[in-house]
Amino acid sequence: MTSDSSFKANLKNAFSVFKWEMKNRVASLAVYGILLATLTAIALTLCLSFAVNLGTEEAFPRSALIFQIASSYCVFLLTIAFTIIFTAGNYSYLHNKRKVDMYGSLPVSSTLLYLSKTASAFLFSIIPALFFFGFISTVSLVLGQPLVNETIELYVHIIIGTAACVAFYGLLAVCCGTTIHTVISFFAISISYPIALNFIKSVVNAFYNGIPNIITKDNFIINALNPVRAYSGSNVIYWILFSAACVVFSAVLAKKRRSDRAQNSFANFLPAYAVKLILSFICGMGLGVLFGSLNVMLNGMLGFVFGFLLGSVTAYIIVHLIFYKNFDGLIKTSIPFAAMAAVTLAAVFVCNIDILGFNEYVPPADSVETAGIVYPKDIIGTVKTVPQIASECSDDFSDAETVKEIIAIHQKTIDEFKRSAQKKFSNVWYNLFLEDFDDFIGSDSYCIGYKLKNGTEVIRHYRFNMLNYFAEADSGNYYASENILKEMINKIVESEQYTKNYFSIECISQDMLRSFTLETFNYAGNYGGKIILAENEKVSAEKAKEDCRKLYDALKKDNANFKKRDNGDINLKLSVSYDVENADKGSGLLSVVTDSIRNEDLERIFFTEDSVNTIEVLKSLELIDSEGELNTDSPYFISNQKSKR
Amino acid sequence: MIEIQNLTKSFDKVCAVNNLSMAVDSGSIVGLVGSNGGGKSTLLRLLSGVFAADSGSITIDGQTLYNNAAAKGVCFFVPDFPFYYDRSTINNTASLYRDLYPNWSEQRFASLCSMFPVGKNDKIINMSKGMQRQAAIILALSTCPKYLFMDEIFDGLDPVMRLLLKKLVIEQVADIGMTVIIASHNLRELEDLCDRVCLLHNGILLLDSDADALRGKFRKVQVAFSQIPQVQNLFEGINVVNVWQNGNVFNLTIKGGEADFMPRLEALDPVYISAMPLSLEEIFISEMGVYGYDVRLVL
Repeated sequence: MTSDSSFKANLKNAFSVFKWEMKNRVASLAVYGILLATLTAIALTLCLSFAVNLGTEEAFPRSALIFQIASSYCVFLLTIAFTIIFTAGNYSYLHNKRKVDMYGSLPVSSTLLYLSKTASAFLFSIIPALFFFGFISTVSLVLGQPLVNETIELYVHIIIGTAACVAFYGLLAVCCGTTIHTVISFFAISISYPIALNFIKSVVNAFYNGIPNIITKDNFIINALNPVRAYSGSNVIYWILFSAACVVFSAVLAKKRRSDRAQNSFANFLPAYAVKLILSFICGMGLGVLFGSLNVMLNGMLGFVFGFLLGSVTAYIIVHLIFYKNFDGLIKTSIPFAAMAAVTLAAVFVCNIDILGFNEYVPPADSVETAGIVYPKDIIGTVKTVPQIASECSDDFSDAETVKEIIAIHQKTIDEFKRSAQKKFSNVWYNLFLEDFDDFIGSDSYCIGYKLKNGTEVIRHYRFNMLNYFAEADSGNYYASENILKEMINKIVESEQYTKNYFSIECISQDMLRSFTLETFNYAGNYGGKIILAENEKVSAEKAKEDCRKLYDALKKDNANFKKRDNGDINLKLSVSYDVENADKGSGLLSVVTDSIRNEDLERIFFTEDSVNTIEVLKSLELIDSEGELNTDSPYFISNQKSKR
Repeated sequence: MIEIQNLTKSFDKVCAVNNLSMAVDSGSIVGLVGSNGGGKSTLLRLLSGVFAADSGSITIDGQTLYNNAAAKGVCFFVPDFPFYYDRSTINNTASLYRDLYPNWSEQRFASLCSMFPVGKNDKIINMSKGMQRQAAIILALSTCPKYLFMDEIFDGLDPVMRLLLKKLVIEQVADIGMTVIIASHNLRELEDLCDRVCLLHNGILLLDSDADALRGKFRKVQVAFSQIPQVQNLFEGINVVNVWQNGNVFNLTIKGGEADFMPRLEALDPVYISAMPLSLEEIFISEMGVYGYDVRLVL
């Protein structure tokens, strides 16, 4: 038999095994299908009854939207649950001696058998989901709520997530001797890897004050070994490559796998080492940072070393006992652990002594070409990372006086940190747990950037919260210190140049524009409404767009001639509504929900008597009258009663 | 033809098969016997391509078997505990084997199903141990393998079914030249079926012999004296493997034919003498005793 015909025969046999697997899984698939069908039916019944009871014109599309979102997420979650069950069952042919006898003697190569098992685990999970997503989309279309793209997007997330999880589980299954070891390894790596990376990130951020956070929580490096994150729909390319790499690597390992390892510890010790090292690392870091922050042994670093060794050695032994059931090989397999511990301790020591002087470095004034300082919250209209913001602001000021002021702010910040430098370990906890919360509640931070004469760029990012935390140790001048720093920063932030640079309309392109809103400041004398420059029953979309463009151009012209002054007699408040560029809005259907809650991104526009072009356009469009008050006869005017949504 | 050269397979520190070499001609039935943990099941798994050898080689008709789908297509392995899914039936499993094994015979399948009293559509997992064996036999023989490997196949089968199995195997060997290797502790059944016996202990092949020749090699002899002759070495010149004395009566296991030892025994002037061939089980116990695997030593 030629190798080509042999391969075809082999492929045919693998397909036969795949078909047979399908037949043997009919009962589980039926349970899965019935559950999905029942949940979909419940969602549809409830939504239709609400629509019928409300009896309004809008009720059916709104109910259809709720049905679509509720049922799609039921299918999504149930698919994830069944993927876990199917996948664990599917790869048990590697872990059960009786199954090994059966499958091992079948005339199918081990590689193709593995691939057919992978394909069946993947298809078991996504085909029923495809059917139900199709059904949900059809019902929604019939009911007049065609969010087909959003449903497809969610389905794509299921495909990517399922592929990543099945492929990663498959890789671990080939390496492990038992299903329980595979499951432990899968969850241990998926959960502990992001924690380990966050510990590393937090230590760097805590020990190097002002270092801009390059790795955000959605960065693929943080989630690289956590395939469950693939269901979120971010980093799609990475997850496709990850899945492909896992399948190829597993297929190679499957060919070499010793089948007699079934119901034994491991066929390949890679996952065992990975789990042991990652778990011992995070346990060591946890206890080490705790001891370091409590300053045990009267020295943070010594406390860290003691805590790290205590935590990591204990975790290492426990995981070894879970995997191997005895102490055999504990010492022999400890070389990677010893290397990890040595590298970690050395790295933390190097960070602690700040060997390069990062924390205290302030560029000398005569070496600075340009410099800048910015509150990241002032950057609107686009999603930029902190390093990008800091880098862009480094061009803002070139005059020697402002540059000196920025350097003084930088120096003052460093002095604040120096006053409580031994608290570095406590700051790891802040970076680990509170940083995201700070971002969520919008705590203040500021970026400093320099362009040096030698072409080098220096960027820093500091949070007021961190300064406050450190300053707490010297509670005497807690507020004074913070206020002095804020005053120094505000002097620049309130400058004409800064206001001009970060004027909202300069950050928003015409394509991002949605509408302008004009209201009065003085509510006591308002006219019971506001003007929204957007398409409505009286104004076409084209006309509204053209009017928005005119106002936009006028605002830009005025900003070019901007002079800082008070609002004066202007009793008008202008806001712009816009789309955010490069924003990760999460999954499609979810973004529909959040969009309907959030409505729009609004930004207040600074508006003075000097804004002559703007005032002229407002008048020419008859949005305001000659007295500068809102024109209630404008087709854009919406009375308060109507404007309630 | 199966050729095994210096085959070794270890599990951690345990060497299950140790530098084993043998050849099995096509159309023969080989019985693998041996102590518990002797390496019989491991050898069958190596032969059927379930396990890869640590060293040495196995070729079947000149082809290595491990990871060779084409070569595996003409072999069938019935393990000591066959795996069946919860909803597996004979029919359902046949649907897989029909696609996988090129020699699958529908006619043979139908005929075997009519011979064994098991339901084709009954769940195998719910059947008794013996009936599960019957299901395995039906499926195995329906694939019409050139090489059939069976582990403890008689376990759980009633005497009638054992007889039927032996008859079917012999028929299939005669019809298609099938080669069969059976590992079993049921030496009585192997005695009837096998034309060759291999004895494995601690992974080493202690004995590899034609079954009839093996039986002819040993004799169980009872000799009674009115008075035991007062000579230095009573059975000198006779190849005695085992002696058990009860008063004036001696029970001997002697290696060799009657012609070799009868004249010497008769020269001792016994009052009673009888000689008969050893059963396979007696040979097994006797041979294993030579290697220290003896119930008296165990006790």
